[in-house]
Amino acid sequence: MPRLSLYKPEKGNDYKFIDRQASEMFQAGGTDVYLHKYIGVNTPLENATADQPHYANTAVTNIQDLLFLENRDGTYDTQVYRIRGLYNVQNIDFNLSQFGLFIDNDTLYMTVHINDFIKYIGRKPISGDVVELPHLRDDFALNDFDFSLPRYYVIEDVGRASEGFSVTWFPHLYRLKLKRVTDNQKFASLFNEQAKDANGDPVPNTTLRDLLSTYNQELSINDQIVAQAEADAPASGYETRQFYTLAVDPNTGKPLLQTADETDVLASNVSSKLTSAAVNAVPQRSGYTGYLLGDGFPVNGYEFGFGIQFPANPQADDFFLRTDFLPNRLFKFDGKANAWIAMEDSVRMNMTNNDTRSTLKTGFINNTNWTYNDQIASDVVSLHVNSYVINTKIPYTTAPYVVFKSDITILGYSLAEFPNLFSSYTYVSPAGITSNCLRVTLPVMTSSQVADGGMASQPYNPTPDTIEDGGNAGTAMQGQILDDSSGQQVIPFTGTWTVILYNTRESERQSISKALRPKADF
Amino acid sequence: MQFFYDGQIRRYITQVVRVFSNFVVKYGDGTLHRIPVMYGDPDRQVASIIRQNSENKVNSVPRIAVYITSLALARDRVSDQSFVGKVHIRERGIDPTTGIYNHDQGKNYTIERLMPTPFDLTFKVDIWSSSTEQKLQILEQILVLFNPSLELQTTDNYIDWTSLSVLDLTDINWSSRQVPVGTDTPNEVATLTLKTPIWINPPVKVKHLGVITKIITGINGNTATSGTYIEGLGIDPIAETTSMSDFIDVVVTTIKNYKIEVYASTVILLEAGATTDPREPTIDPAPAKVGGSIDWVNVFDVYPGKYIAGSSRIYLTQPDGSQIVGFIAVDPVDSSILRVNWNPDTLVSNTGIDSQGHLDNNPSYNASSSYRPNSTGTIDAIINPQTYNPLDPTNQGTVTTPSVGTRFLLVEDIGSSLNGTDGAEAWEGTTSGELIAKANDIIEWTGSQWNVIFSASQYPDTMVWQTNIYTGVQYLWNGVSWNKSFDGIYKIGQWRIEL
Repeated sequence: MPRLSLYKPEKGNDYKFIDRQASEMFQAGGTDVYLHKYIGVNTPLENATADQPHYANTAVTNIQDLLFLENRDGTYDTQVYRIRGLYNVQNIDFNLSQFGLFIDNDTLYMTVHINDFIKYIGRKPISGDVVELPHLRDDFALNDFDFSLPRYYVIEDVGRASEGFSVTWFPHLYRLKLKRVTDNQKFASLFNEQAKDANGDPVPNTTLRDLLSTYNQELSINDQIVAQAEADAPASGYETRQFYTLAVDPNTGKPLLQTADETDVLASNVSSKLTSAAVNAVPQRSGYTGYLLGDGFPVNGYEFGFGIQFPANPQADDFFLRTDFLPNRLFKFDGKANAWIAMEDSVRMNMTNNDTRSTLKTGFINNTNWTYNDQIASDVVSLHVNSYVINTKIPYTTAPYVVFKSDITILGYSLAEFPNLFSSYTYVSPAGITSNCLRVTLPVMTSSQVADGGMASQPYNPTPDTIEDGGNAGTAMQGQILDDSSGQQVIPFTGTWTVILYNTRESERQSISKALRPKADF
Repeated sequence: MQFFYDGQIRRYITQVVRVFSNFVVKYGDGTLHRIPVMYGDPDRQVASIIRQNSENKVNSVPRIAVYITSLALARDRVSDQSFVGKVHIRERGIDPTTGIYNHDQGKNYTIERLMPTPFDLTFKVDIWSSSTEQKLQILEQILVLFNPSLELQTTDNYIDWTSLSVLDLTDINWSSRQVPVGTDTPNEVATLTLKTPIWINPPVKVKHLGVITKIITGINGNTATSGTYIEGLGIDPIAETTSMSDFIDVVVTTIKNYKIEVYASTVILLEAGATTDPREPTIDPAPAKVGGSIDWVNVFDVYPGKYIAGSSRIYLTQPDGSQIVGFIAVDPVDSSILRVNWNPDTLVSNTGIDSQGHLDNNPSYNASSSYRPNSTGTIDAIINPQTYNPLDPTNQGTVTTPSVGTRFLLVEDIGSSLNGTDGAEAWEGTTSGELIAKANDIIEWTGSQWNVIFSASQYPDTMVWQTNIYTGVQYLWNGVSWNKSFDGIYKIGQWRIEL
């Protein structure tokens, strides 16, 4: 007769009997636990680096960042698993921190049945698995939804529970250390899922983030604060448009008046601001001095034109804002000198960090321009404003990119983005020779092809060939000019344009560590 | 102490929140996520509302919290606390119909600003991130802005001389965690410490434009200092007084050094050396400026205030120091002419003349015994007695008798002692008496005859004011002739306008 021993090397019937009892105990006395199974992390191939590798398979054993030893972008099984667990319910206290209210003692220690967990989940629980406790749904939160708020935890540590060892010395229970989840990058895939109500039915047009996270409300509050900050200081420098500048004689200091009754007014030098009534002359410059006062607007609110080319027949004291200067520059036409005189630069800038802010520093960050290379062919053509079908004398061919240049104005288009960019036409030379040449038809740009000025939660999809229409953007002028009504791209002004076909292009904005790295073998 | 609060420190906090707003982090799937920035010392109730009063609500990461850790007086930037900085502002006019600014000059002001008190304000910016890589993304975007400081502006108001400041990045606490982390994993928070020099301003004074419009320079000789010598101590500088004597000259300088020509209800501008034609005041025609006319806009543009037709005023200083005031309006046809509605209450008081011919400065003057006891300083009309018939003023053949006390100022002689008893019949009395009067005399109807009550030849050195009731114009007898009482050229300093 062998010596009595409850311990056996193998998991025998005693173990199985006790394990079933333990399982039944969880079934009878435990609470449902919904488990969102962590299935791993994987860096997309195009973003992979040596220390942030792309794996052949997405697996729980993958490590996303080998330098920092962290997994940031977890993915979760869309299937939700139901298991049973036991834990001691505890009272909570809210801790008011600089980031809002937190639950002070938010760590739970839950036990689950090992074999049941393996049976249902298919593996051992690991740090990063997310559990949901349906019995803790909050039916009465102060939200606008008709749905209760679920309670989510993330497993931090997993170990065998000391109380789960039976007389056979084999463990039957896991002890899970649970912490409250936050709406962060690691759980983004989970929070991007559609929210479900207590019955498991989807909540229309609502993600779990919408339902459960403070993110949207925090953004809304942030937006309001920024709006107030913009109301307090809409732009750098000082607003002086509401102030009046008196035109004075530079020699006598006396006010300068001009009337149509003056006998010494030359017809060729008549101010456009002249009326039959006595009016003050147009000041030479603003009467207010200080830091960053130039806003591109004429003194005293005089009307002005703007564009990238001076108008053809100006009158004395006409104002014109050249939007192709960076910063935009305001000119006044001097009738005596018959020349446009620079008045001021529009140096006042919105101080909010946005995608179009273009100071010296932010101009290096908010930069969507391209640098085109590998010229294929070129031609010089005379084009009229608003034309969009351009016939060149380039023998018909296609290229990935076409660029129109005139002075500092550059319009660039990508064949990949606009497949109908190129076509051919028959050109008859003055000598009567016909040839098949390239015709470029400027594209119609949809609103989705306009660069998005917004920020929040938008896929990062820069379209460097586009600039915002209107406003005071358009300074770099490397991009497309939108026709206001149809989105039809047009030539912005009449003149001589160079049409160049390019084979490659690269972003003007590049990281300092990556710019001009070797592109070929040595 | 009256309450005032401008939310000045609040604006600094708002702008700091703005500085750290709109930064994003990039998730592994390429999406960009904006980082909310909020004040780091919320009210517990509001914090509870943000999480919808539910313990199930989930905090979002990353987050940035901004809060103040200290505010200290900056003794090194303290300046003269009594200094008042002034800035003169001319606003553009606002179209009353459209409510938008037009091209004209509007109101104008002088802003007085008292020296503000300097402080150093220290912020902490806590950056809560969910991973090291995420923290690096955030910090790289933020830290590049500090080189070494970041400009901060609380308002774009031109008169706010303290709206511009800087954020100095003074310290970076890389992590709130320690290595090794241990059994529990606290939130990962990096902290930037920012210091910004600020000023706290009292309210300003917004006044009407306070530019100097007239400078009076007096030149005196022989200054004398009173004797305040104290034996052993010298001259007491407090008790010392200096008196000036031997007045030599006074020079008055105004903004444009214009003089004016007043004629009845019109005023025109003259340069310092300009003249009019005719040179002396006349009843008719109005004197005109020799040379090009001067637009009144020249004056209105530079004087404080905004010209309002019918409400702006002109002041004429009279020889006796009194001032005549009129409400002005620029002639709609010729803006070099000012139309003035003189205020009769400001004219020099009329000189009373009783029926016995005594002026009111004569002890024998007795107005109550006069034929017009209530109006002894007025005349009913200025007439030419050689053409005017007091018995038939309208020349319609209807004989009317003048009212008792009727007074006329004569512009021509009437009657002569050589005529005996056969003078002009229209001026004869009902019983007897021929009227013999000279030009510039004032005559009065007693009910039975005309009497001369003011004989001009008897007053070669006396100024006498009389108002013509018929026209409302006051006239002055200057010993030689009757002139409108305040017509003429007013030199620099003898007139001014209030817009």
